[in-house]
Amino acid sequence: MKGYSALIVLVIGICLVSCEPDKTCRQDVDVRARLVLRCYHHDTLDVVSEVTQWDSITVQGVGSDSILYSNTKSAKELLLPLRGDTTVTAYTLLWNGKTETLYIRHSNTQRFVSMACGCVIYHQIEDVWCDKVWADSVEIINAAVETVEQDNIRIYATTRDSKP
Amino acid sequence: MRRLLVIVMMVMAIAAVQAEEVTDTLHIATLDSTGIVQITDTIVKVENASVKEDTVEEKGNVLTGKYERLKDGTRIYSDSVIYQGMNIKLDLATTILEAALSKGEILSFEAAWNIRLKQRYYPTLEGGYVRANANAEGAQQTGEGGFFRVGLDINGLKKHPERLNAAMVGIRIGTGLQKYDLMGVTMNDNYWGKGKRMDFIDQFHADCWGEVVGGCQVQVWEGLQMGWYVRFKILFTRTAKEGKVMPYYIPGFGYRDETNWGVNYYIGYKF
Repeated sequence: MKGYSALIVLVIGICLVSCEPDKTCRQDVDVRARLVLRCYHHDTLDVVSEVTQWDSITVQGVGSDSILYSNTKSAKELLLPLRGDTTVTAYTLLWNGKTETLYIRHSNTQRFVSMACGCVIYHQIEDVWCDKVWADSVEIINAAVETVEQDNIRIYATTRDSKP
Repeated sequence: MRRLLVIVMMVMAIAAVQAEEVTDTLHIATLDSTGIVQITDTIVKVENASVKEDTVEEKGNVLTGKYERLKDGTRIYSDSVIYQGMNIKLDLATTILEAALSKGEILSFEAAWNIRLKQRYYPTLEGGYVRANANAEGAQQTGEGGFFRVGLDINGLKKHPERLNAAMVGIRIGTGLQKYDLMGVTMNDNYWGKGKRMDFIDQFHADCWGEVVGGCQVQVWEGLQMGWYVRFKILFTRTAKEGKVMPYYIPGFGYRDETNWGVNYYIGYKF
Protein backbone atom coordinates (compact mmCIF):
# COMPACT_ATOMS: atom_id res chain seq x y z
CA MET A 1 0.00 0.00 0.00
CA LYS A 2 2.89 2.30 0.76
CA GLY A 3 4.18 1.59 -2.72
CA TYR A 4 0.89 2.60 -4.28
CA SER A 5 0.77 5.81 -2.23
CA ALA A 6 4.27 6.75 -3.34
CA LEU A 7 3.32 6.05 -6.93
CA ILE A 8 0.22 8.23 -6.71
CA VAL A 9 2.24 11.06 -5.16
CA LEU A 10 4.84 10.71 -7.93
CA VAL A 11 2.19 10.80 -10.64
CA ILE A 12 0.50 13.86 -9.16
CA GLY A 13 3.89 15.56 -8.74
CA ILE A 14 4.82 14.92 -12.37
CA CYS A 15 1.46 16.23 -13.44
CA LEU A 16 1.74 19.43 -11.42
CA VAL A 17 5.25 20.10 -12.71
CA SER A 18 4.26 19.39 -16.29
CA CYS A 19 1.13 21.47 -16.18
CA GLU A 20 2.85 24.54 -14.76
CA PRO A 21 3.75 26.73 -17.73
CA ASP A 22 6.96 28.68 -17.97
CA LYS A 23 5.73 32.20 -18.63
CA THR A 24 9.14 33.83 -18.60
CA CYS A 25 11.28 34.20 -21.70
CA ARG A 26 14.58 32.42 -21.05
CA GLN A 27 15.95 32.57 -24.58
CA ASP A 28 18.40 35.13 -25.84
CA VAL A 29 16.44 37.21 -28.33
CA ASP A 30 19.03 39.95 -28.86
CA VAL A 31 19.83 40.26 -32.56
CA ARG A 32 22.34 42.95 -33.59
CA ALA A 33 25.00 43.45 -36.22
CA ARG A 34 28.44 43.45 -34.63
CA LEU A 35 30.86 46.07 -35.93
CA VAL A 36 34.59 45.69 -35.23
CA LEU A 37 37.51 48.01 -35.89
CA ARG A 38 40.86 47.49 -37.54
CA CYS A 39 42.83 50.71 -37.26
CA TYR A 40 46.46 51.16 -38.34
CA HIS A 41 48.06 53.75 -36.09
CA HIS A 42 51.21 55.59 -37.18
CA ASP A 43 53.19 57.14 -34.35
CA THR A 44 55.53 60.13 -34.62
CA LEU A 45 58.34 57.87 -35.85
CA ASP A 46 55.93 56.39 -38.41
CA VAL A 47 55.94 53.01 -36.65
CA VAL A 48 52.65 51.26 -37.43
CA SER A 49 50.62 49.45 -34.77
CA GLU A 50 47.23 47.82 -35.05
CA VAL A 51 44.39 49.14 -32.89
CA THR A 52 41.21 47.10 -32.51
CA GLN A 53 39.18 49.20 -30.11
CA TRP A 54 37.75 52.65 -30.05
CA ASP A 55 39.17 54.65 -27.16
CA SER A 56 36.03 56.75 -26.96
CA ILE A 57 33.06 56.64 -29.33
CA THR A 58 29.50 57.91 -29.59
CA VAL A 59 27.00 56.10 -31.82
CA GLN A 60 23.51 57.12 -32.84
CA GLY A 61 21.09 55.72 -35.39
CA VAL A 62 20.18 58.05 -38.23
CA GLY A 63 16.50 58.77 -37.71
CA SER A 64 16.54 57.87 -34.04
CA ASP A 65 16.60 60.38 -31.24
CA SER A 66 18.30 58.09 -28.77
CA ILE A 67 22.05 57.57 -28.50
CA LEU A 68 23.19 53.95 -28.59
CA TYR A 69 26.74 54.46 -27.27
CA SER A 70 27.57 57.68 -25.49
CA ASN A 71 31.26 58.47 -25.27
CA THR A 72 31.93 54.82 -24.55
CA LYS A 73 35.51 54.02 -23.54
CA SER A 74 37.58 51.11 -24.86
CA ALA A 75 34.85 49.67 -27.06
CA LYS A 76 36.05 46.48 -28.74
CA GLU A 77 32.91 46.07 -30.78
CA LEU A 78 29.70 47.96 -31.44
CA LEU A 79 26.42 46.08 -31.40
CA LEU A 80 24.13 47.81 -33.86
CA PRO A 81 20.40 46.95 -34.06
CA LEU A 82 19.21 46.91 -37.66
CA ARG A 83 15.83 48.26 -38.63
CA GLY A 84 12.99 45.82 -39.12
CA ASP A 85 10.72 48.27 -40.91
CA THR A 86 13.09 49.14 -43.75
CA THR A 87 16.08 47.65 -45.54
CA VAL A 88 18.71 50.34 -44.97
CA THR A 89 20.04 51.23 -41.54
CA ALA A 90 22.45 54.10 -40.99
CA TYR A 91 24.53 55.03 -37.93
CA THR A 92 26.71 58.00 -37.14
CA LEU A 93 29.97 57.16 -35.38
CA LEU A 94 31.65 60.09 -33.61
CA TRP A 95 35.32 59.25 -32.98
CA ASN A 96 38.29 61.58 -32.47
CA GLY A 97 36.04 64.55 -33.11
CA LYS A 98 34.99 63.34 -36.56
CA THR A 99 31.61 61.87 -37.47
CA GLU A 100 31.50 58.93 -39.85
CA THR A 101 28.21 57.67 -41.26
CA LEU A 102 27.89 53.93 -41.81
CA TYR A 103 25.20 52.54 -44.10
CA ILE A 104 24.01 48.93 -44.02
CA ARG A 105 21.62 47.50 -46.60
CA HIS A 106 19.97 44.29 -45.44
CA SER A 107 16.97 42.03 -45.81
CA ASN A 108 14.71 41.25 -42.85
CA THR A 109 13.09 38.01 -41.79
CA GLN A 110 10.63 37.97 -38.92
CA ARG A 111 10.81 34.88 -36.74
CA PHE A 112 8.47 33.94 -33.95
CA VAL A 113 10.33 32.54 -30.96
CA SER A 114 7.55 31.94 -28.46
CA MET A 115 4.65 33.75 -26.92
CA ALA A 116 6.78 34.71 -23.93
CA CYS A 117 9.78 35.80 -26.00
CA GLY A 118 7.86 37.28 -28.88
CA CYS A 119 9.32 37.79 -32.35
CA VAL A 120 12.82 38.56 -33.47
CA ILE A 121 13.95 39.89 -36.82
CA TYR A 122 16.90 38.21 -38.45
CA HIS A 123 18.84 40.09 -41.09
CA GLN A 124 21.00 39.29 -44.06
CA ILE A 125 23.49 42.03 -44.82
CA GLU A 126 23.68 42.72 -48.55
CA ASP A 127 25.94 45.76 -48.71
CA VAL A 128 27.82 48.21 -46.46
CA TRP A 129 29.41 51.54 -47.23
CA CYS A 130 30.48 54.71 -45.40
CA ASP A 131 31.22 58.39 -46.05
CA LYS A 132 34.97 57.84 -45.49
CA VAL A 133 35.38 60.68 -43.02
CA TRP A 134 37.66 58.83 -40.63
CA ALA A 135 37.18 55.34 -42.07
CA ASP A 136 39.12 54.04 -45.06
CA SER A 137 36.77 51.23 -45.96
CA VAL A 138 34.22 48.82 -44.59
CA GLU A 139 33.57 45.14 -45.37
CA ILE A 140 31.12 42.37 -44.59
CA ILE A 141 32.64 39.54 -42.57
CA ASN A 142 29.48 37.56 -41.91
CA ALA A 143 26.26 38.47 -43.67
CA ALA A 144 23.85 36.60 -41.40
CA VAL A 145 22.73 38.58 -38.36
CA GLU A 146 20.94 36.18 -36.02
CA THR A 147 22.67 36.71 -32.68
CA VAL A 148 25.13 39.14 -31.11
CA GLU A 149 27.90 36.56 -31.01
CA GLN A 150 29.42 36.91 -34.48
CA ASP A 151 31.40 39.72 -36.05
CA ASN A 152 29.44 40.95 -39.04
CA ILE A 153 31.13 44.10 -40.29
CA ARG A 154 34.71 45.33 -40.07
CA ILE A 155 35.60 48.98 -40.50
CA TYR A 156 39.14 49.99 -41.45
CA ALA A 157 40.78 53.26 -40.47
CA THR A 158 44.19 54.91 -40.30
CA THR A 159 45.28 57.33 -37.58
CA ARG A 160 48.50 59.30 -37.17
CA ASP A 161 50.11 61.04 -34.27
CA SER A 162 50.88 64.60 -35.18
CA LYS A 163 54.61 65.19 -35.43
CA PRO A 164 56.09 67.69 -32.97
CA MET B 1 2.89 -72.09 -34.70
CA ARG B 2 1.53 -70.01 -37.48
CA ARG B 3 -1.48 -69.05 -35.36
CA LEU B 4 0.85 -68.02 -32.50
CA LEU B 5 2.88 -65.86 -34.86
CA VAL B 6 -0.28 -64.08 -36.03
CA ILE B 7 -1.34 -63.49 -32.40
CA VAL B 8 2.09 -62.07 -31.52
CA MET B 9 2.00 -59.75 -34.53
CA MET B 10 -1.49 -58.54 -33.60
CA VAL B 11 -0.41 -57.86 -30.04
CA MET B 12 2.64 -55.95 -31.30
CA ALA B 13 0.48 -53.98 -33.73
CA ILE B 14 -2.01 -53.07 -31.01
CA ALA B 15 0.85 -52.14 -28.73
CA ALA B 16 2.34 -50.03 -31.48
CA VAL B 17 -0.95 -48.30 -32.14
CA GLN B 18 -1.44 -47.67 -28.44
CA ALA B 19 2.08 -46.29 -28.18
CA GLU B 20 1.34 -43.86 -30.97
CA GLU B 21 -1.99 -42.86 -29.53
CA VAL B 22 -0.83 -41.20 -26.38
CA THR B 23 -4.03 -39.31 -25.98
CA ASP B 24 -5.02 -36.55 -23.68
CA THR B 25 -8.48 -35.24 -23.07
CA LEU B 26 -8.36 -31.88 -24.67
CA HIS B 27 -11.06 -29.30 -24.30
CA ILE B 28 -10.29 -26.65 -26.78
CA ALA B 29 -11.10 -23.30 -25.32
CA THR B 30 -11.67 -20.29 -27.45
CA LEU B 31 -12.67 -16.76 -26.70
CA ASP B 32 -15.76 -15.19 -28.03
CA SER B 33 -15.90 -11.56 -29.03
CA THR B 34 -16.60 -10.44 -25.46
CA GLY B 35 -13.58 -12.25 -24.10
CA ILE B 36 -15.63 -15.04 -22.42
CA VAL B 37 -14.08 -18.50 -22.60
CA GLN B 38 -16.15 -20.93 -24.63
CA ILE B 39 -15.16 -24.56 -24.12
CA THR B 40 -15.91 -27.25 -26.68
CA ASP B 41 -15.63 -30.88 -25.50
CA THR B 42 -13.65 -32.13 -28.39
CA ILE B 43 -11.14 -34.86 -27.84
CA VAL B 44 -8.18 -34.49 -30.09
CA LYS B 45 -5.15 -36.66 -30.36
CA VAL B 46 -1.93 -35.05 -29.37
CA GLU B 47 1.46 -36.56 -29.78
CA ASN B 48 2.90 -35.63 -26.46
CA ALA B 49 0.77 -34.62 -23.53
CA SER B 50 3.54 -32.75 -21.80
CA VAL B 51 4.31 -30.22 -24.51
CA LYS B 52 3.46 -26.64 -23.78
CA GLU B 53 2.97 -25.62 -27.34
CA ASP B 54 1.42 -27.49 -30.20
CA THR B 55 -0.93 -27.38 -33.08
CA VAL B 56 -4.33 -29.02 -33.00
CA GLU B 57 -7.19 -29.11 -35.39
CA GLU B 58 -10.76 -28.75 -34.40
CA LYS B 59 -13.59 -28.62 -36.91
CA GLY B 60 -11.26 -27.44 -39.60
CA ASN B 61 -9.84 -24.58 -37.52
CA VAL B 62 -6.19 -24.94 -36.80
CA LEU B 63 -5.25 -23.49 -33.42
CA THR B 64 -1.61 -22.85 -32.81
CA GLY B 65 0.22 -21.48 -29.87
CA LYS B 66 1.01 -21.78 -26.23
CA TYR B 67 -1.69 -23.04 -23.97
CA GLU B 68 -2.49 -22.88 -20.32
CA ARG B 69 -3.88 -25.92 -18.51
CA LEU B 70 -6.64 -25.27 -16.01
CA LYS B 71 -7.40 -27.61 -13.09
CA ASP B 72 -10.10 -29.50 -14.98
CA GLY B 73 -7.71 -30.32 -17.76
CA THR B 74 -8.91 -27.63 -20.07
CA ARG B 75 -6.29 -26.18 -22.28
CA ILE B 76 -6.79 -22.57 -23.18
CA TYR B 77 -5.22 -21.57 -26.41
CA SER B 78 -4.81 -17.94 -25.69
CA ASP B 79 -4.06 -16.90 -29.21
CA SER B 80 -7.07 -18.61 -30.64
CA VAL B 81 -9.07 -15.40 -31.08
CA ILE B 82 -7.52 -12.21 -32.36
CA TYR B 83 -10.17 -9.64 -31.50
CA GLN B 84 -11.19 -9.72 -27.83
CA GLY B 85 -13.33 -6.68 -27.30
CA MET B 86 -12.99 -2.93 -27.12
CA ASN B 87 -12.85 -0.26 -24.44
CA ILE B 88 -14.13 3.30 -24.42
CA LYS B 89 -12.62 5.59 -21.78
CA LEU B 90 -13.16 9.12 -20.57
CA ASP B 91 -10.27 11.05 -19.06
CA LEU B 92 -10.90 12.92 -15.83
CA ALA B 93 -7.40 14.00 -14.81
CA THR B 94 -6.67 16.30 -17.73
CA THR B 95 -10.01 18.06 -17.49
CA ILE B 96 -9.78 18.66 -13.75
CA LEU B 97 -6.07 19.46 -13.48
CA GLU B 98 -5.91 21.76 -16.50
CA ALA B 99 -8.93 23.70 -15.31
CA ALA B 100 -7.59 23.92 -11.75
CA LEU B 101 -4.03 24.90 -12.62
CA SER B 102 -5.01 27.44 -15.24
CA LYS B 103 -7.74 28.86 -12.99
CA GLY B 104 -10.38 28.08 -15.56
CA GLU B 105 -8.46 29.46 -18.52
CA ILE B 106 -8.10 26.06 -20.16
CA LEU B 107 -11.01 23.73 -20.80
CA SER B 108 -9.98 20.28 -21.97
CA PHE B 109 -11.92 17.09 -22.68
CA GLU B 110 -10.35 13.82 -23.70
CA ALA B 111 -11.61 10.34 -24.53
CA ALA B 112 -9.92 7.17 -25.67
CA TRP B 113 -10.87 4.02 -27.54
CA ASN B 114 -8.88 0.85 -27.80
CA ILE B 115 -9.34 -2.76 -28.80
CA ARG B 116 -7.78 -5.85 -27.29
CA LEU B 117 -5.99 -8.19 -29.64
CA LYS B 118 -4.63 -11.58 -28.61
CA GLN B 119 -4.64 -10.51 -24.95
CA ARG B 120 -1.51 -8.51 -25.60
CA TYR B 121 -1.91 -5.67 -28.06
CA TYR B 122 -4.11 -2.60 -27.71
CA PRO B 123 -4.32 -0.38 -30.78
CA THR B 124 -5.49 2.94 -29.42
CA LEU B 125 -7.17 6.08 -30.70
CA GLU B 126 -7.45 9.13 -28.46
CA GLY B 127 -9.05 12.45 -29.14
CA GLY B 128 -10.27 15.57 -27.48
CA TYR B 129 -11.31 19.18 -27.58
CA VAL B 130 -9.55 22.12 -25.95
CA ARG B 131 -10.46 25.76 -25.48
CA ALA B 132 -7.45 27.71 -24.27
CA ASN B 133 -6.78 31.19 -23.00
CA ALA B 134 -3.13 31.53 -22.09
CA ASN B 135 -0.90 34.48 -21.40
CA ALA B 136 2.82 35.07 -21.00
CA GLU B 137 4.90 38.26 -20.78
CA GLY B 138 1.90 40.39 -21.67
CA ALA B 139 0.93 38.38 -24.75
CA GLN B 140 -2.40 36.60 -24.85
CA GLN B 141 -3.56 33.52 -26.75
CA THR B 142 -7.23 32.70 -27.24
CA GLY B 143 -8.23 29.75 -29.33
CA GLU B 144 -9.85 26.36 -29.60
CA GLY B 145 -9.13 23.16 -31.40
CA GLY B 146 -8.97 19.41 -31.32
CA PHE B 147 -6.38 16.71 -31.18
CA PHE B 148 -5.94 13.05 -32.08
CA ARG B 149 -3.42 10.47 -31.06
CA VAL B 150 -2.98 7.00 -32.49
CA GLY B 151 -0.70 4.34 -31.14
CA LEU B 152 -0.25 0.91 -29.72
CA ASP B 153 -0.04 -0.38 -26.15
CA ILE B 154 1.46 -3.70 -25.17
CA ASN B 155 0.25 -5.53 -22.10
CA GLY B 156 3.13 -6.72 -19.97
CA LEU B 157 1.06 -9.03 -17.78
CA LYS B 158 0.89 -12.77 -18.37
CA LYS B 159 -1.70 -13.70 -20.96
CA HIS B 160 -5.00 -15.01 -19.70
CA PRO B 161 -8.36 -14.81 -21.41
CA GLU B 162 -10.32 -14.10 -18.26
CA ARG B 163 -7.92 -11.64 -16.72
CA LEU B 164 -8.64 -8.36 -18.42
CA ASN B 165 -6.36 -6.17 -16.29
CA ALA B 166 -3.40 -4.83 -18.16
CA ALA B 167 -0.14 -3.06 -17.34
CA MET B 168 0.81 -1.30 -20.49
CA VAL B 169 3.58 0.52 -22.23
CA GLY B 170 3.10 2.06 -25.60
CA ILE B 171 3.78 4.76 -28.10
CA ARG B 172 1.64 7.46 -29.69
CA ILE B 173 1.82 9.90 -32.52
CA GLY B 174 -0.35 12.93 -31.99
CA THR B 175 -1.54 15.98 -33.84
CA GLY B 176 -3.24 19.09 -32.49
CA LEU B 177 -5.13 21.50 -34.73
CA GLN B 178 -6.41 24.85 -33.63
CA LYS B 179 -7.59 28.31 -34.62
CA TYR B 180 -6.35 31.06 -32.39
CA ASP B 181 -5.48 34.72 -31.91
CA LEU B 182 -2.19 35.93 -30.47
CA MET B 183 -2.45 39.44 -29.10
CA GLY B 184 0.32 41.71 -27.87
CA VAL B 185 3.31 39.71 -29.08
CA THR B 186 6.58 41.50 -28.32
CA MET B 187 8.77 42.61 -31.20
CA ASN B 188 12.31 42.50 -29.84
CA ASP B 189 13.40 45.77 -31.40
CA ASN B 190 13.76 48.15 -28.52
CA TYR B 191 16.03 50.66 -30.23
CA TRP B 192 14.12 51.20 -33.50
CA GLY B 193 10.73 49.78 -32.65
CA LYS B 194 10.49 51.08 -29.08
CA GLY B 195 9.18 47.76 -27.75
CA LYS B 196 6.34 47.54 -30.24
CA ARG B 197 3.76 44.76 -29.84
CA MET B 198 1.83 43.04 -32.59
CA ASP B 199 -1.45 41.17 -32.92
CA PHE B 200 -1.94 38.05 -35.03
CA ILE B 201 -5.62 37.32 -35.66
CA ASP B 202 -7.33 34.22 -37.10
CA GLN B 203 -4.26 32.04 -37.09
CA PHE B 204 -4.34 28.31 -37.76
CA HIS B 205 -1.64 25.90 -36.72
CA ALA B 206 -1.12 22.15 -36.67
CA ASP B 207 1.41 20.63 -34.29
CA CYS B 208 2.76 17.11 -34.24
CA TRP B 209 4.40 15.15 -31.47
CA GLY B 210 5.31 11.68 -30.28
CA GLU B 211 4.69 10.06 -26.92
CA VAL B 212 5.93 7.21 -24.81
CA VAL B 213 3.23 6.10 -22.40
CA GLY B 214 2.96 3.76 -19.45
CA GLY B 215 -0.04 2.89 -17.35
CA CYS B 216 -2.64 0.36 -16.43
CA GLN B 217 -6.20 -0.66 -17.10
CA VAL B 218 -8.11 -2.43 -14.34
CA GLN B 219 -11.50 -4.11 -14.42
CA VAL B 220 -13.49 -2.81 -11.46
CA TRP B 221 -16.93 -4.30 -11.85
CA GLU B 222 -18.60 -6.05 -14.77
CA GLY B 223 -17.43 -4.05 -17.78
CA LEU B 224 -16.51 -0.97 -15.75
CA GLN B 225 -12.83 -0.20 -15.67
CA MET B 226 -10.39 2.42 -14.44
CA GLY B 227 -6.85 3.18 -15.35
CA TRP B 228 -4.16 5.78 -15.60
CA TYR B 229 -1.38 6.75 -17.91
CA VAL B 230 1.80 8.78 -17.55
CA ARG B 231 2.97 10.30 -20.82
CA PHE B 232 6.27 11.70 -21.95
CA LYS B 233 5.76 13.88 -24.99
CA ILE B 234 8.27 15.12 -27.55
CA LEU B 235 7.23 17.96 -29.81
CA PHE B 236 8.27 17.67 -33.46
CA THR B 237 7.01 21.04 -34.73
CA ARG B 238 9.35 23.41 -32.94
CA THR B 239 10.05 26.31 -35.25
CA ALA B 240 7.64 28.69 -36.88
CA LYS B 241 7.70 29.27 -40.59
CA GLU B 242 8.80 32.68 -41.77
CA GLY B 243 6.23 35.32 -40.85
CA LYS B 244 4.10 32.81 -38.93
CA VAL B 245 3.46 32.57 -35.22
CA MET B 246 2.85 29.49 -33.12
CA PRO B 247 0.32 29.00 -30.33
CA TYR B 248 1.49 28.87 -26.72
CA TYR B 249 -0.89 26.08 -25.75
CA ILE B 250 -1.20 22.98 -27.94
CA PRO B 251 -4.33 20.81 -27.66
CA GLY B 252 -3.36 17.35 -26.47
CA PHE B 253 0.24 18.36 -25.78
CA GLY B 254 0.04 21.19 -23.26
CA TYR B 255 2.12 24.34 -23.05
CA ARG B 256 4.60 24.63 -25.88
CA ASP B 257 7.99 23.24 -24.99
CA GLU B 258 10.37 20.74 -26.54
CA THR B 259 9.12 18.04 -24.19
CA ASN B 260 6.20 17.75 -21.85
CA TRP B 261 4.64 15.36 -19.35
CA GLY B 262 1.04 14.37 -19.02
CA VAL B 263 -1.19 12.28 -16.80
CA ASN B 264 -4.56 10.69 -17.54
CA TYR B 265 -6.99 9.02 -15.20
CA TYR B 266 -9.59 7.10 -17.14
CA ILE B 267 -12.98 5.67 -16.35
CA GLY B 268 -14.15 3.36 -19.07
CA TYR B 269 -16.34 0.51 -20.14
CA LYS B 270 -15.46 -2.71 -21.90
CA PHE B 271 -17.72 -3.84 -24.72
